[in-house]
Formats: sequence, structure tokens, C-alpha cells
Amino acid sequence: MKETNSQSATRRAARLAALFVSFLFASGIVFASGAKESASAQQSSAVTINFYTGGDVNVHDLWANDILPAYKKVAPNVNVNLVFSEHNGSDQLVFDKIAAAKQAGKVSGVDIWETGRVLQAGEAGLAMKVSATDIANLSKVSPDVLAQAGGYGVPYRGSSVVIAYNSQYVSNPPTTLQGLFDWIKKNPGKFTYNPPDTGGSGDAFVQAVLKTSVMSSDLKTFQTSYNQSLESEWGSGWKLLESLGPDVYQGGFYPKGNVGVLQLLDKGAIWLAPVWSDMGLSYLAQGLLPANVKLEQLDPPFSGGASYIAVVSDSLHKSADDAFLNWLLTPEVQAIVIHKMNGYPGVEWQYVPADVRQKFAAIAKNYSFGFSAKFDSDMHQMWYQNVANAGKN
Amino acid sequence: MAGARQLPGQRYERRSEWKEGVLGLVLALLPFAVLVALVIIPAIDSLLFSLGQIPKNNVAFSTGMHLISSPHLTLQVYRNLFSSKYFAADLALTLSVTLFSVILVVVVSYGLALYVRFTHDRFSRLVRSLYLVPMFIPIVIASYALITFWGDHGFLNAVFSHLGLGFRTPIFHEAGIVLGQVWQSIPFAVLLLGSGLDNIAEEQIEAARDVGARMFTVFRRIVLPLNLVPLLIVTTFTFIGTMGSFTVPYLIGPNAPQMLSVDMSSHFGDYNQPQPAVAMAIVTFVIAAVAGAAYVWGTSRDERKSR
Amino acid sequence: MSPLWFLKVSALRRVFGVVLVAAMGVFLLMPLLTMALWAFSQTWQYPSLAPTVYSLKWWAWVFQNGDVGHAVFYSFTTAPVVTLLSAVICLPAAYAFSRLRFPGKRFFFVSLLATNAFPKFGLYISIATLFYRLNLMSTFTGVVLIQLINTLVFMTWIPAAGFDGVGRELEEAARDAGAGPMRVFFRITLPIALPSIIVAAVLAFLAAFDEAQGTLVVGLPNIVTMPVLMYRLVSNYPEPVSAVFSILLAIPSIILLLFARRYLIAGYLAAGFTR
Repeated sequence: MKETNSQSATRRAARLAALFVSFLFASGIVFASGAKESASAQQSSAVTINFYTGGDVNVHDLWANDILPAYKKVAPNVNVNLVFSEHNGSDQLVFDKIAAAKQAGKVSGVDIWETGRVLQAGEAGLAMKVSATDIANLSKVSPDVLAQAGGYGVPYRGSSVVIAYNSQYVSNPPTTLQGLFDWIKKNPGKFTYNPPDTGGSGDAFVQAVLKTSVMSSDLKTFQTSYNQSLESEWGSGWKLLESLGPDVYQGGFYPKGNVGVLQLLDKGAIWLAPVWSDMGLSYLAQGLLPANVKLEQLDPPFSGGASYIAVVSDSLHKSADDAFLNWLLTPEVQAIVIHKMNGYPGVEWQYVPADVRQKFAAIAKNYSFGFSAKFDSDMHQMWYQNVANAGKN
Repeated sequence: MAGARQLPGQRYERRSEWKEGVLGLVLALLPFAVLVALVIIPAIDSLLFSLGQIPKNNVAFSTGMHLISSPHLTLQVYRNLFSSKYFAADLALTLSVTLFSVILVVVVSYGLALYVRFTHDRFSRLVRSLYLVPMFIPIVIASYALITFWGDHGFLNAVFSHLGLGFRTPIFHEAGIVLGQVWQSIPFAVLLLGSGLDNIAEEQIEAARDVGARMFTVFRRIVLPLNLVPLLIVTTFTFIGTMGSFTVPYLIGPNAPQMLSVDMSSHFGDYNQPQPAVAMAIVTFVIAAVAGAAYVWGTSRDERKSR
Repeated sequence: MSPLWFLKVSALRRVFGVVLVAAMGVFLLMPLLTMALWAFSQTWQYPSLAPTVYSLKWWAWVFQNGDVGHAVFYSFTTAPVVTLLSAVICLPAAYAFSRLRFPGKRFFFVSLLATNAFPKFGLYISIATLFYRLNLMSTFTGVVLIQLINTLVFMTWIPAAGFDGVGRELEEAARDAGAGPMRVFFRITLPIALPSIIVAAVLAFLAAFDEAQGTLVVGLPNIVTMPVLMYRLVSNYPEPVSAVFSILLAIPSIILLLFARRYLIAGYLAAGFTR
């Protein structure tokens, strides 16, 4: 039977389609051969540690480009496999993964884990307590910082939220929280922060405001455990944030994420905002913020915190894990962390090379501690209800 | 009739009918099985969780905060949800955005389809390729492109300021979500409405025009009634799609109120409250199912009519 | 005078056409074009209408980024696999819906709509827990299954309409001439229904390729596809990076558009949804 013209055209089309699909396969493989090569190189090493972590891209680049290659030179037969996720929810996913494995009596495959949920993980039996007997350099870490994570994590770096301001327009930046509120009122539309659930800088700002109305005897509870009834103490703090709303950028617009705020600062749309110290300094270094943007810390300081790495309980390579974590706390590596992340060290400032300490003198103060995870979750929802919805219901 | 003698041919027919029926069922069950495994069963899990049954083997659900647990099925989660004015505001926004999106999609797409159908110059050929574009742009890219184009200090803003005009951006407001949804839904709508128009015989239109009917009358009396099924499909699919969409509202929507899908995500990930999140999913599904039922009713009515 | 009087005057009709095309062009295309400009810009400050400094440096950055290669690999391997799997599962069913009589036919056909009606996010949370139990989280198979869901309607409804369009007389004539059922299917039915199948395959491929939400929930942290990476780039990097990546992400889609345009306009998509 003879084919019609359209039928033969369709046949040709079908053949083209098959070619196209195979081309996609091939190009995908070619494109990624670089990426895959490094993945397959792992198999030849003696020990492989799976390191789960996440965060913004500067964190990823720190591990992938600086620290892990350096460790490869120090311990060539140990391969640290970096499993990185930038999504906020992945903390929960990894938590679930380890918990599910524990329940099923299997090995989760996660050896060390950088997470904001170290305390929770430890209390659920998923992470082990760390001590100076296994990790000698822990003696250089401040006991407060260790206690903040219940002793379950190794703090290898820290950061604090600070105020970034455009010195071209702001000659006299505020130095206290109350001064900040006054500044906002006097300069409407030139300040904003990100919704607390989308980035730590906005989170720290909101927490600082809420803490002004909290009784100092309850402060410890807010930082380390959970008691929902205490949230009524936040009442006047919410009112304050609500009242600031109309004077915020565009009458109450809060851009999502730490980077959203930095981009507005860069555009000159806002003149002052809370930012992570390490992100602010990185952006300045890359020219992503105009050179006249400066950073300063308020008194009392915004919260910050250390980033902790936990040793997962079912890890099969505990001594390799401990060795790696111990190495992270040596002065040379801490200097890398500080330089690359423009952040705070995990050890106390006195254990960091003197020239580095000098460079960061302006913001090298301590930071305060933020709310525990459960308080933080409730706070996110209440921010949405009290501040984002202000004037709409 | 029982006991009546059957001709040999009839018996063969019944047996092959039976074989056909079984084969058809087996083949149709393949995608249906995927549906059951990947949609129905998880949906039932979610439904039970929203009714107060905390599954022990589900870490994500069981470690949530403020869980309501009950030995028997309870509507407490839904009661809490519907008494929250924030949920009401979010639901209202979702319905409002969906309504406006559907209306705009229908109006714009019908206009485009009519233009392409009744005009045959090179511009209409150009339009024919133009309206397909959004179908081939991934929605993440499209949202981002819309933000840089329509946003504050964006391209359109620059054009307006050069012309000395003011500019209020729809981005990060409700109008922005509608904009994104309409942009995304145009191709499917125009294709469907256009194909329905193609099925209307040219002679019918000509006959009406010969008796002096104006274009609008032709549209109202001939085109519209004969093109109802595609219109129904476009309406219901756009409705369902907009109700459940996440990317456009997440990237382009305001801080508050939020579309339900973003609300679900906030509750699940940020507030660590999976139960209300799942309840919201069920509510959204029920509303979407109403639209789905309208689709089924409309298309089967049409099928029965044409038999 | 009817409000559309000007359509009668051919000159004005032309103007209307131009205005319409221009308006549609602006609405549909301009956002994409400005984004394309961003990909080549180093400095573009408001209120300039074009970049002030052009540069290819962000292209270099994107191509050197290991994550991009990783995401491209997974996007280009999951999407074809999903499309093939979907075809294997759905095409026989499409044939059954078109040609065979069996109980509950309409029900099974319409039920596939449920894949669209249940809000994806709620679904993915529940699927994730199922996948945990089956150890499918963060695996290639898991991502394939998630992306498969969005393709079912396309792969069943559209080819079913395509099979509808194959005249039974043709099949019967071939059978009378002595051809077996398989031969009839492959030589007669399939070629005629092929345009519909192509449209379905293209749309299914796009649905899998563009799928972001489910892959985000199920694939992280091991399997990252291009749309998922796009989310991260949009929120974390300067505009030009997202713009570059958008162009990369859109290229396969544009190629498919040029290829499938003819079939879409010919009505094969619409036929699937109006049967």
C-alpha cells in the first residue's frame, strides 16, 4: 500500500524524533562527563565518608573548592563525598532519611551532617555527642557554643547577622535596636528584611525585636527548649514589627531570601538592611554590592550562630569522621574558613592566626543566640499572620 | 431470553466480546495502576492524616508540631483551618486569582482563536506560531522572565519612565499571579478553542452573513453554541491548573495573602506543621474535583447528544 | 453600528491585525527577549533599556559549574526515560480506549484526570513517605516515577483520539486481505495515528523535563534536574546567571516547538481533549 505524502512525512518525523532523543542522551552524557568523572574517581579510595550539607552557594563553594581539596592532600586515602542541597526543606529530608534507616535497622549512609537540627538529631538518637577525647581541638571551642547544640555538633564556623548600610546616603548609622527603629521611621521605604522563614538575616532581625519584650529569665528557654505558652511574651514585639510595616520598603514588602535583600541594597532601592556578615563581605568582594556599603554590628548584637557538623550515630567510619572534624578546627583551616566565608571561626578568636583576627576586628565580637528550632517554626507562622497580613484583614 | 436457542455465530460473538472486554480492561489498567499507586494511595494516606490518624511509620508526618491525634476520625484539623482568618484570606485569594485567570484566559484565547480563524493574512499565520510559545518555556523560566520584565525597576518600568509615565508593577501583587497564569495557559486554550472553531463549517457562517447577520451576531448565535465543549474544557482545565499551581504564586505572589499551594508549602516546611498542609491539599482537591465533575458532565452530555 | 464595524474595512482590519500581533508579541515574547539580553549583560542599571556593558563571563561561569553538568545529565536522562515508560504504559491503553469495548471505559479514561486535580505539592509530600518505605527517595527511579505522573493524561488521551481517527474500514480491509492483527496494527493503524503519538510524546517529554516540584521533594540531594537547579539559581545568583541558565533550559524546548508546531496546529492535541 502506498503511503500518502503526509504519512511519509510523518515517518520522517518519527525518525527525526528518534535521532533527537538519542542526541539528547548523548549530549547529556558528554556534557556531564566532567561531573561524572569526579564521581567515579571515588571508588579507588580506601575510606569514603558521606558528608551531607546544604545552604547558600558560598557554603557549597567553600567545601567543594577549598576545604575538601585541601583535605585530600592531608589524607589521600580518605574521600569525603560531598552531598549538597540548597533547598531549605532538605534538612528535614535528611533527618527523615536517617530516622527511617534507624527504624528499619539499616545503615543510613550519612556519616557526617551539617545541619541546623543538630540538637534535635541528637535528642532523637540520630547523632552522637562529641567530646575533646575523640576530637582534641574541641578544647578550643567556647563551651557556650558547644552547649547551644547540646554537645552534639562540632562548630566549624560561625556567622552573625549585622547591619549593612549604604554610606553614600547614611552618614550616621544606628548603633542600637531602638536607634534602628527611629532610623526606619525617619527614612520610610529605605529598609526591609526577608520573611524569617526564607533567610537567616530576616530571621535574626525579627528575633531581636521579639526578644525586647521577653523576660530575661525565660531567655534560656527560648534558646534551648520549647514551651508554647511562653510565646505570649512576644506580643509587644509583634506590635512593634507591625507598626514598622508602613515605613518598610514599598509600604511593607519583604523580599524572599537573604539574597533578595542584598539585591535591593545593590540596586539602591534600600539603604539599610540586616545581612549575614559573611554574605555581605563576599558580595562586597565580588562587586555585587557597591563599595560604599559598609557593615556594622548593633549593641546588643543580632543573633548568629555556629554551623555545626554532627557525627551520625550509625556511621561506620567514626575514627575517619573524628579525624576530619578535628582537622577542621586547626588554625590553618579556620583561616581558610574565615577568609572564604568572611565569617566567624568555630574556635574562639584567640585560636585564630593574629593577622586574621586583625582583619576582622570591626565585627569580631560575639553574637547572641537565636531561638530553638520549634520556637523558630512557630515564630515563622506568627510573622506571616501578624506582620505580612497586617492591615489586610 | 433465557433458554432461547442461540445460533452458533452469536455464541462466538459473545465469547469474543468477553475476550475483548478482558483485554481492554487489562490494557486500561496499566496507567490506572500507576494512578492508584502514585496518586490515590498517597492521597488516602494524606486524607487519613488530616482526619487525625498519625501514621507511625511516616517520620515527616509524625514529627510535625501541634498535631491533632484521635483514635477515631475527627474533623478538628479542618475546623481549625476554616476558623482561621488567614486561611480564609488565602482561600479567597486563590479563588479570586483562579476566577480572574479563567476569565482572562477565555477572553484572550477566544479572541486569538477567532482572529486566526477568520483572518487569513500573514499576520494571522504569525500569531499562530506566537501563541504556542508559552507551552514550550518551562514555568520557572517564564516566571523569572515575567519578573524581570514587569517588575519594579524592570524593563517595562524603564520604558514607561522614558515616556514620562508612572508605573505600578503587578509583580508581587495578586495581578502578577494572574498575569503569570494567563501567560502560561494561552497555548492550550487557543489550540482547543481554535480546533472547535475549525469544526464549524464555513458554509454555516457564510449563510448567516448572506442574510445580513453582523459578526457579533454570528458569534453569539452560531459560533458560541457550537463551540461549547472546547470552552468547557478550557475553563475546567485552567481552573484546575491555576488552583494547584505553585511556581508562579511562589515566585511572583505577594508576602500575604498567599495562594493555597504556597501556604501548604509554608506549613509543611517552614512552620513544621504537616497536618494543616495536608488538609489544605484535600480542600484544594475537593474544589478542583468539582471542576473536574463539570468537565465529565459536559463532555458526556455532548457524547450522548451526538449518538 | 456594531462595535466591530472596523473589521469590515480592510485597511482598518490590517491595522487591527498589526496591533494585535504587536500586543501579543509584546505580551508573550518580550519578557523572554529581555531575559535573553540579561544573559549577555555585565552591567544593566535601571533605567537603561539595554545592558550598558555586555559580557560572556557568566556563560563561562555556568559552563564551568559542575552542578550544571550534573543537572543537565539528569534532566536529559530522566525525561526520555519517562517518555518511553509512559508510552509503554499508556499507548496500549489508548488503543484499548479507542478500539475495544469494556466495562468502566469512560471511568478509567476520565480518572486519569485525577493526576492533575490533586494539588501537586500535597501529593508529593505523601508520595515521599511512600518512597521512604520503598527506599526510592533520592533515586533515579523515584524521580522517574514522580515525573511519570504528569505524563499519563497526555500519553493516553491524545493517542486515543489518534486511534479514533483510523478508519475501521482500512483495518478491516487489511484483515480481509489476510494480514494478522499485529501486522494490521503496525502497518496501518500506527502510521495513521503517528502524528497524535508524536504530539503526545512531545508534551509528555516537556512535562517530565519541566517538572520541578516533585523532583525537588524526591530527588534531593542526589538527583538534581535543570528546573530544580533553576530555583536555586534564581534565588541565589545575580540576574545574568539565571538568564544564561534559562536559555540553556529553553533550548531543547524550542527545538521541540519547531518540530511539533505543525502537528499541534493541525489539531491533534485538541482532538485528544474533546473526545
